[in-house]
Amino acid sequence: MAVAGMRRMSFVGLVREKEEILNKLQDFGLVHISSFNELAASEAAARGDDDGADLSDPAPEELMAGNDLYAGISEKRKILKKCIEELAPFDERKKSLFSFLRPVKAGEIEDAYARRESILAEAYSVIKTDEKIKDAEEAQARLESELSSIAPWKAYPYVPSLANTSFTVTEFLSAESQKEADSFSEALTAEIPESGSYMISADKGLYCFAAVCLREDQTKLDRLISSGRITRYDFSNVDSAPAEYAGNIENYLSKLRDSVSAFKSDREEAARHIGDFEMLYDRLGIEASKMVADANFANSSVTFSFEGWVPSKNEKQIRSILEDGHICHVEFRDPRDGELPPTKLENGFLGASIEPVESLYSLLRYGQLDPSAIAAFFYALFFGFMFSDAGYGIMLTVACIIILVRCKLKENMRKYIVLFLVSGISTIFWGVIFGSWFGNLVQTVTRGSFALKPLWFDPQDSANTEHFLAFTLLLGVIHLFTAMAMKAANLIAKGKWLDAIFDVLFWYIFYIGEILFLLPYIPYYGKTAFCERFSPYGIYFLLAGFVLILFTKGRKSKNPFIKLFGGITCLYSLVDMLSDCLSYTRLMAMGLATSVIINVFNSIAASAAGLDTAGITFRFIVFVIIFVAANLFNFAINALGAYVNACRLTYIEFFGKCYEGDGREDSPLRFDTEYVYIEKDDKANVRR
Amino acid sequence: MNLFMFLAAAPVQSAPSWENPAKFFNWGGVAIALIGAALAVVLAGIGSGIAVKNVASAGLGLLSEDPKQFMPALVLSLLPSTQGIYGFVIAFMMLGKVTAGMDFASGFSLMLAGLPIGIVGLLSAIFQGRVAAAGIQLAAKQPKHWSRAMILTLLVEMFALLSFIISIFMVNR
Repeated sequence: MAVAGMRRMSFVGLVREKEEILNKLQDFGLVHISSFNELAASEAAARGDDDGADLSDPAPEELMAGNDLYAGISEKRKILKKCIEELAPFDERKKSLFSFLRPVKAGEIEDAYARRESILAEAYSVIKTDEKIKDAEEAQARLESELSSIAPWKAYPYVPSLANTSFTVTEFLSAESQKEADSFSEALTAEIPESGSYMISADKGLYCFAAVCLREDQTKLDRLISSGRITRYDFSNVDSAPAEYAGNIENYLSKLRDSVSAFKSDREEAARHIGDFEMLYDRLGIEASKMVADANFANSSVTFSFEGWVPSKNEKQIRSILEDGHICHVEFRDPRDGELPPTKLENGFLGASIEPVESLYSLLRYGQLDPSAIAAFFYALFFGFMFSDAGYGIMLTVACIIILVRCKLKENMRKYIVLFLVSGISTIFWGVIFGSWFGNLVQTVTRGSFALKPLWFDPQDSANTEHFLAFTLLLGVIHLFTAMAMKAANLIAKGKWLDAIFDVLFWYIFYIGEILFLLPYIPYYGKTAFCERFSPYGIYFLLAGFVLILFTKGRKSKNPFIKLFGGITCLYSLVDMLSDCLSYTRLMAMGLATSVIINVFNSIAASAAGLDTAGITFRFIVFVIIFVAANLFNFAINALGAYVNACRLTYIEFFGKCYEGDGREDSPLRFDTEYVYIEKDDKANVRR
Repeated sequence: MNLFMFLAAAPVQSAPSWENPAKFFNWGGVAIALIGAALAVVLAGIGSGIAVKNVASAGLGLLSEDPKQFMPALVLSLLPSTQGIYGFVIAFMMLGKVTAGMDFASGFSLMLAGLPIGIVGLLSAIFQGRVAAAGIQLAAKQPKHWSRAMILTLLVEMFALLSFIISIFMVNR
């Protein structure tokens, strides 16, 4: 549970050793190299002028604009990426539901890098093949449509493009019905006596015929054609008899099909090398990130220098690595005011599990206490409360364990799964407490003769509704007070004892007063002996808290009036606190929704299977089918609901009180890979 | 647990109740309570249906641009569906309270329990759907920050939640 302390590192070395130094830094993987933006900002801060300081690291593309070597590598990576994506559907390696990094040995990836020219050539040819396949398929579609339009004319024995003579015109026409064709030929003979129409083929829905007339009558013929529902064919480019022409097309098509299947088998063949493409892609990425780091170095003709951030506990290690065999100078110092070191979270397995959820909110600012472990504990607690079924909890837990054991997941995904694992255990806990094992499954199946008793109480029993609601409010108060304690701890850690007293302790008094004052109106707890004993003191706490806050809240303002009475706005905080607490009633709503819906499905399944009348018969299968399908649905919907609502309680109610975000991301120079994972012991051997 | 028994056990009347209004008030409690249950599930369901339709079509638009954004599209589309579930839960709890031959007054008060989640569910789902659809726009432009859209969308749901709690209390009164 902590944010790693950072030390500022300054380095000066020889240009001729730069490549080696870069390699060592990348192997080490913990040095965050500062950009020129940051250097300028920290100089400005040292001058005491920190307005408009831009700490953001420029995007690599921006930084490397104009660097041809980098552009070349990016281009190659783009090609490889495209190639990997094109080939992915033909990849025959075992796939898993979750993306994971494929472990490789350093030797393999170096081998791929050595063969980069041939691998790239292959990638280019994959992309070319892909284009060829697309072209061929287009041509195929075009030819097929041409074939289908020429097919009915196979009976026409002459060459259509030569059908027009100096004196006569021939039109190739079709109608949709015999009647239309007949009426056209009647109209033709009536209108143009010196003409003829010849049926070529008659099929259901397509009647093809040729009409011949003198050239001088062509306009009449055109008018006739456009007046009826007649389709005209343009065969001016058909330079052989239709039967022969169709035969040619068919020949060509079969060749085309052969070549497409040849291309496709090429592609499938190439898909076997997808591993090479992935390794080269990542290996080039490693080169690219070194170049980006290099771009942040200041160079003279002989020496180069850079500044960066290193976790304090690794200081000695990095010094000995860099000074070993190199002529250089390394210095470390603590961060100054105005400098913002990157945030490197160092959490145990519980705290780390919630890091991805936190990163969706905002990255913790350097110098804050890390509330991750506590946040994760409450997250799991609330998730379990909302999911609240021991059966579902077991499903979730087992699924997470299987995934964790069997898949080598990407870091973020692994953390998520750990979070759900812990949440699953918490779900089992609450399920046992409230006696829900797939709802009332046992009771339903045994027709009420046996029921698993809840350890505490059954929230669905209407006698317990008030107790359930009150309990969720209690959980809320605990969560909110923990957040305030976290804030106090943060202030104390920075030595601001007075702030901790003014901004947290006084508020505790104020809020405890409010809660005691309102306690008689809270269902269930309002009727306890505790309430009777203590709630009369609520008003004194409330008033004392109010007075204390009234005179201290505005203490930092320069306006004397606000200084004295700035605390008046704390009255509004009473409403805030109330609405924050009410927000926790979602725990009740989601918790009840899960278990009520399971029970509904159970009783639907039971009555569909006739369990309540016929006893256990073959219809038990019906019960099982409905039960499984309905519960999978309910599981998915409610897991999502529990996830988002637990996120909300964490973000707004908890982090809102104690989390200072907008930290800088720690992006040290390291092996950043997308597809492969270089096995740890071998990392040092890359490039050697 | 057989919640549907009350239907089988409903009193058989010699004359239809509309011929004798007094009889309806003696025996119509079941019908009135059922109307309440229907309102809870129907109104909330309509609201969720409309909202999910709107968000899901916006989500499809997003997917047509960027198929990798399935998670934001799915989560945001599902968010306004909770009102329908709340309505369903309330309707079901109400069915559990309907007893054969319950009198008009208790049937009527049971019906009222369906109204908070029915009405607020209908409207809040539709409004939540608008926020979620805007969230889809955000996911399209700023894929990294879609979780914020998720949180803001949840703010609207708060009110359905409060009605749901009140409905539970009214049913269990």
